Amino acid sequence: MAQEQTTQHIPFTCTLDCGSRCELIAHVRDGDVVRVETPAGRADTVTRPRLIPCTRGRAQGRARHARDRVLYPQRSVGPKGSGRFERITWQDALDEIADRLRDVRARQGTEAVLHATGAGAISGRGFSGSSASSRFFSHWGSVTGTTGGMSEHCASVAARWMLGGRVPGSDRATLIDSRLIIMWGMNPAETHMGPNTDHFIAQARDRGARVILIDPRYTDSAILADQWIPIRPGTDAALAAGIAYVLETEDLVDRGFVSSNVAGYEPYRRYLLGLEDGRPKTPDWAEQRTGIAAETITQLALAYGSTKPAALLPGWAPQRTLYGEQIARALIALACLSGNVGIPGGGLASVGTRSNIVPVGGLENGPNTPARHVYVGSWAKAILDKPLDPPITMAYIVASNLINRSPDTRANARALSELDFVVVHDPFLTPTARCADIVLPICTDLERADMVTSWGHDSHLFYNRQTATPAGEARTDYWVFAQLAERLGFGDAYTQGKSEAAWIETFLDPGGGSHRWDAARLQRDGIIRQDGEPRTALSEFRADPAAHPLPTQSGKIEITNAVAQDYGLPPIPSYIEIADEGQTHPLQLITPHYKFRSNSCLYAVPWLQRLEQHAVWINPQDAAARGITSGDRVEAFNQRGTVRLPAKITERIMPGVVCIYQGAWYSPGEDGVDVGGCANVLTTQRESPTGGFATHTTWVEVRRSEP
Amino acid sequence: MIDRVFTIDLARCTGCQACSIACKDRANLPDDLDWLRVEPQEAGAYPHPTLVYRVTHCFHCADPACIAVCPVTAIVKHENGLVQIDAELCVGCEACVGACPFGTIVMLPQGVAAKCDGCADEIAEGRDPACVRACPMRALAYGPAENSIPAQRVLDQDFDGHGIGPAVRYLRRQIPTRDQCVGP
Repeated sequence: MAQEQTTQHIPFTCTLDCGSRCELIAHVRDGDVVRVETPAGRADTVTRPRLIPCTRGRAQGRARHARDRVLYPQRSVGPKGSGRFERITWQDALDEIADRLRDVRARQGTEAVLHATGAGAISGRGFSGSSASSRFFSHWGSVTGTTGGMSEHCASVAARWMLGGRVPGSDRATLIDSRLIIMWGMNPAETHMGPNTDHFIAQARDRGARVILIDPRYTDSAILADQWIPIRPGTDAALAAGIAYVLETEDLVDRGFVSSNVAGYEPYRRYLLGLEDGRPKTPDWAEQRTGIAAETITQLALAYGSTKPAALLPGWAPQRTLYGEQIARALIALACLSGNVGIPGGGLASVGTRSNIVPVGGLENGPNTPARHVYVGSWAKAILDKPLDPPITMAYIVASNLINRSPDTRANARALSELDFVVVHDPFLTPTARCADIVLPICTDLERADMVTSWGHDSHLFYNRQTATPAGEARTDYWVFAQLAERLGFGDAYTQGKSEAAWIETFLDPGGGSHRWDAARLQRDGIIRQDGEPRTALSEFRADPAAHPLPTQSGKIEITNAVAQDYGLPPIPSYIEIADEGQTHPLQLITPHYKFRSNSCLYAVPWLQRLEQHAVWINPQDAAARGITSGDRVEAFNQRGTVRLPAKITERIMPGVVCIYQGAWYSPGEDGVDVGGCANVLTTQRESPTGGFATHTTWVEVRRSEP
Repeated sequence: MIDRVFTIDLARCTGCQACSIACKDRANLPDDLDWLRVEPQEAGAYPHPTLVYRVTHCFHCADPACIAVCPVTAIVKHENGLVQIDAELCVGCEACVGACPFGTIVMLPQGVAAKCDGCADEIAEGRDPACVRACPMRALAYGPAENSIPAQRVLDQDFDGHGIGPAVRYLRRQIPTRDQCVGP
């Protein structure tokens, strides 16, 4: 057919911050993507299955034409947040931004500029998101940067204290050897954290493994599980203590491993047995805190203590609480006590991702580093509550839906409206872009070339060709900054006179000739897979800790960490009761990732929007107590704001807990109520002792919405 | 007649919708129409709820209800086993839409009935249907009906419409025995 002759099949991957990198094929005709497919002719093997994309990747072609696509540079003509813009030329936009940057440097100094990047485009080596903007600002001057991580801060802290650093987890493929898999606040079926994680778990189960899900919500991952154990959010360290108590008292602790590979168990053991406080951490004790029956805790502990190999897989949700450090630490301790460290099919509750990313070049930063940092979760406070000196007067936001992604979205929107000038780079008119003075139209993944690395669970290298003609006047982040650098007098330093194609040549040759990637193969296949035999984390350390010590003081995994006391935390991973805020707002709110978005990315794509109604999940008991019936619209509210959404009355969530998926776009009505359903309207900016996000330490009340 | 069957593993399907999007993409359907649906079925009471995602599309039945009601013989079961609607012959009466017990026939904006065509063109070239290729959980398959069922699965007969011989096998996991469970 004539049509077929003009359709090209071009491989690509996403740069979404989803947790995976998959293989996609764009069917391209006349510069447009008419279909997205999976590569043909690849076969699955047990440990090296194909990287089949999810709905998000499949929607990338449609995303280009989504309703809220920014097609031209735009200047605000109304109050910030009103969404009223006028189209301007690229020249006017760039000139105005350059003038503003010159002006702020002269009047307040470069640190008056808040440079914020986000998860809209990550792992691109050159032309997308923070790689392009960080290079620009590091050449321009010392700005105010952001610090802290919204994802896994407490898990990273626990890994640093106990393991000496972010030890990579085992490859997901090792799960097929597991006899028992515990998904602890982990939801691979919806988050897709790690390609094929759910597929490996299903394979293990078909080989006879038992799978247990611990979660306040009966997630889609429950379909892969033999048992669901609902847990009160924030009490995971109490459950861990209850399990550890049984391991200790039933003589199921792997004494050999603990004596040779673990330091500092004794203080935790004394805590478990109640030798200091007179309160043994029995399953009954844990039941009172977690809401899990003591008998269930005992059975779970006996199963975990007597089944090898057993993989304890913590998600990151549990540690996104006020004492998330204790939870992350307790789960590492539990894996140590059971001896499931360094063995195939076992699992250490670490940060979980690989650190050995493939050697490939990327844009490098210039001489300046940020003069100061604001915390990524509470940056708004540095504008609203305790203004810095000199104050932040300008925000430059790249690939980040900053107000939506950070807790207390209404405060964030207020903070941006306080500033003199806000620039946003985004393919879409996000709630953050609506707060901008100038919005610049940016290419989506399909519209720009880049080298892309695996998200973190694998070590593959991807090459995205420019596949589609950019929509409207969309440009890459790199192009914009090259133009601005030219206007500000450091164009050559920024571009080194290279085109994007020339940069890619440089990226492919990171070692100056010693390790050159096969460009022709990358062009053809879009990927070079680097996975070999599945790798088990810490296997050498387990076998010979003296020869392969960890970078801790003892060289062992340390269950007692004196450094914790510097942050007001106990030296052992004990449970800390969260002071009850639930007097006026009695329901605990969880805000999980949603399977049809990557955070707030792809929100505006109709294909994805119609797959499921955004709603407040509430148990029938809680709904009945509030006169809420199926189909009602409800308001979830607390002291920070109100979100109005349909109620999803479901047995799949535990009583006392409600759920709103994160990432829906903030859309306040005249009355200030958010009808978009942005969960962060409700979440707290409180931080854990070491600075972790505590979004899951949020209480709300829910009421029927009057029509 | 080639005897092929769609196999849908309910123990693996986690409702990711990759198949429904892949189908819609291939068929170039309007945003609000689907040839393949993935619908959650929730049952049970806390703390023992159940959840199954039911994948439904045209099952190219042995004795198709749609063919029986079509007044203009626009629907034909072909030698390859696939039931096809001829858009040229369809008069848009919607009789087939109401007759299909699986609700898999939709009306296109141009006023003709349409449904899963079994990816006939792709099958002819030796590929799996688009939905099967799209499944990240490897929960879907299309192949000879005599292919055996995996050891850990049993046929799930808990759906309506058996009488017309749908070419589908829903599989579910064998109920775990009591001693495989933790706790009460």
